Amino acid sequence: MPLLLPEDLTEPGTHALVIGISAYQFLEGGHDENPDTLHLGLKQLSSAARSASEFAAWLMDGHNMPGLPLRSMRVLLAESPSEVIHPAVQRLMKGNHAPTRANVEQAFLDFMSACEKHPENIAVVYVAGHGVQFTKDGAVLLLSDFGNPLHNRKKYTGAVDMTALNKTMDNESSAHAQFWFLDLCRGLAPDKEDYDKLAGILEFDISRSESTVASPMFFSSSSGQTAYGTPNNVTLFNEVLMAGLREGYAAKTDVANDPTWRVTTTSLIDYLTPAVEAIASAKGKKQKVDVGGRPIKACLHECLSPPDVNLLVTVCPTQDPDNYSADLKLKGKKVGNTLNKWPARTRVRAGIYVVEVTTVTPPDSQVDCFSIEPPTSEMELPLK
Amino acid sequence: MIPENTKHGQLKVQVKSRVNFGGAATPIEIRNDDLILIISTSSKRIFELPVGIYEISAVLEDGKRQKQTVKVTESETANVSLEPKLPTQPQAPELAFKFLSAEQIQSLETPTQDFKLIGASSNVTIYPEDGFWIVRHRQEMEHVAYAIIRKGHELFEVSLPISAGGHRLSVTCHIKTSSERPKSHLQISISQSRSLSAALESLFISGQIGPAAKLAGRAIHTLMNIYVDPTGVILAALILKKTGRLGAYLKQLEKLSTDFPWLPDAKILLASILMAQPNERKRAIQLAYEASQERILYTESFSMLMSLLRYAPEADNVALCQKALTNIAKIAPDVDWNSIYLCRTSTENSNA
Repeated sequence: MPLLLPEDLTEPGTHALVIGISAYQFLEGGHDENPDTLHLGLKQLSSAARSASEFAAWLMDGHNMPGLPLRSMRVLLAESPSEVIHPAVQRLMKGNHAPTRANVEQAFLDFMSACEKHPENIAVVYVAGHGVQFTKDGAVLLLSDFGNPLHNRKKYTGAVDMTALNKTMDNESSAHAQFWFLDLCRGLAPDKEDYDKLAGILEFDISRSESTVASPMFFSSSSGQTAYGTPNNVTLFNEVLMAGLREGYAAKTDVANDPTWRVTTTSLIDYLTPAVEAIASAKGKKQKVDVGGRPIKACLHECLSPPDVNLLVTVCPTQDPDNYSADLKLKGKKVGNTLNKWPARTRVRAGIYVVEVTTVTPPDSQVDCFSIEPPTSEMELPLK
Repeated sequence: MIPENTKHGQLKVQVKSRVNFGGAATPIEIRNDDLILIISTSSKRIFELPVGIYEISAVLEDGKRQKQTVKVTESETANVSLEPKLPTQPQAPELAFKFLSAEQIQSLETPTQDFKLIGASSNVTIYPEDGFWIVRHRQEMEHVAYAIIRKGHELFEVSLPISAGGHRLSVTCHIKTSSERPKSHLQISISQSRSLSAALESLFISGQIGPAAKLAGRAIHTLMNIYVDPTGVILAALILKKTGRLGAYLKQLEKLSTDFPWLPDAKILLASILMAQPNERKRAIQLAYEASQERILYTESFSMLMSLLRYAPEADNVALCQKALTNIAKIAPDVDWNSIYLCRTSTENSNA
């Protein structure tokens, strides 16, 4: 059963659907490899299911929306043999949780029904797996039975059009805030006839009205790009997203004089795009987050405390590092020890600090302000 | 709560911008030393604040949030000035004869040049300057202008965001013809002289849809009635569509598609709104079909048209819908979805 928690539809809350597919039965390397799929060049994955389980685990133990707690969560996973699913999720996975066409279709129908119970609801969708793309906003997720020979002449029976589902839920009777995280490759479909019609694909009647529902879609990669992952670990997008949610790096305060740090549509856009680019670049890859759907303001999560930030302090290479020391002060109070070993790495609460930089020769002191913001801040002395 | 004996100081903020009434109406945010938002305003620029450290920020027309930290003291007014960091662009010459035809540009090309012009739609003229081609349209528009450009073995056939307009010298675009990196993409941007449209473009590309939508609402009127810039209006409409606010601009869309029949993007946007009304679906599909036969300007419009047709209700004019979808499905596999302007890429060896 994909339902991991007892569903409670009596009160408004958050409803989630999480799908992660690493093991593809009919693709190259799968249990029942179908030779007709080999030309697609799609192989087995090893981090999609784990990534989805990490997200599901965070929803259970980290997600915080006062008045709108998690009230249902459906999880469908197809893990590779060497992949480790988050234990909190693994413990609850009972029965058939394979992300096949039949299971995903039913899970989506149930998920949509749950979301429609209260307009105040929040809907959260996270999917990871192979994907292809047909339009700028498009993302088709290939399910674990994609390529099944029984889907003869309807190649996309084992696939779900995520953009169409986003449009299906884009109506006033559904959850007022929806967050769609689509962690998949967005390679262009290799078969040109598919641009005309995706035979057999899972989609429902779509809403044509112009609603005010917030339904941002965060694509882990931009058009034509590959979404990368660490083998038998998590995807790069997931690594960044989870740090953003768990550590509060993706949060900001957004209501005047309210100290609550919130993860919102806007803060996710501001955080995810540079953070994913940076982590991919550090691994010699290129991956850029795209934002689609209706990216208007909505809140996904409230942090219980302000985020801490990894701070790296260096001395300009043209200067003698032994000549420098620095103190950080927040609200007039010194924070941590004097920094005098370079590069200095420390972790401090996000804020605007007064930095007192002292030099031995000539004896001098420089004072300046420095904004230390999540996820990381880098400061070079002397301050400019 | 702020204690009664708290000392206060004055902060003056200036936003140097070419939009939002010279920055006077640009939304700004002020955060305290805990980075907690304390003030969010579009109109106020002078503040009495408790003495302390603050961060002032605004999303400007370069598509980025510009920030500055400042210390507010009791003794003197703290001044903050925020301005966009726009890339340098050469200005278009005032005299139209300085613009050259595509053929003249081709004759000036050197073997070391990164980008080479292979062709362009009629009446496209170009002024080469400082690593850019400044592109303008010589006559009234009959269809969306385009250029065919080669870089290495790659060919780009790209729609251009230009129009004749009432002030034709300023309705130009810039194509960057030199690149620092060998793998850099073709860069086409609305000329900065079209400040409002250029701002919408930067905000759209950077994903700053919230600030873009605030600007787009006002831009529709300005770009339709004051500085006639139909390709800029389409961009504003695409942004409003993304935020679910385009329905309120139905009259303007009707006028846009009537006044600028050469711009199929207007028909697509109009069709997307009409599709929501069951009694207007036949017309919506007719508009979509017409648009599918023409050169489209924005990739976003092209994608919207494809979705509109693919997800069209079965009962409505299926045959016309299918014909339209067939028209654009032929192009779709070659579309560069990362380009804001509809761009078909191919290699010179391919038959595409």
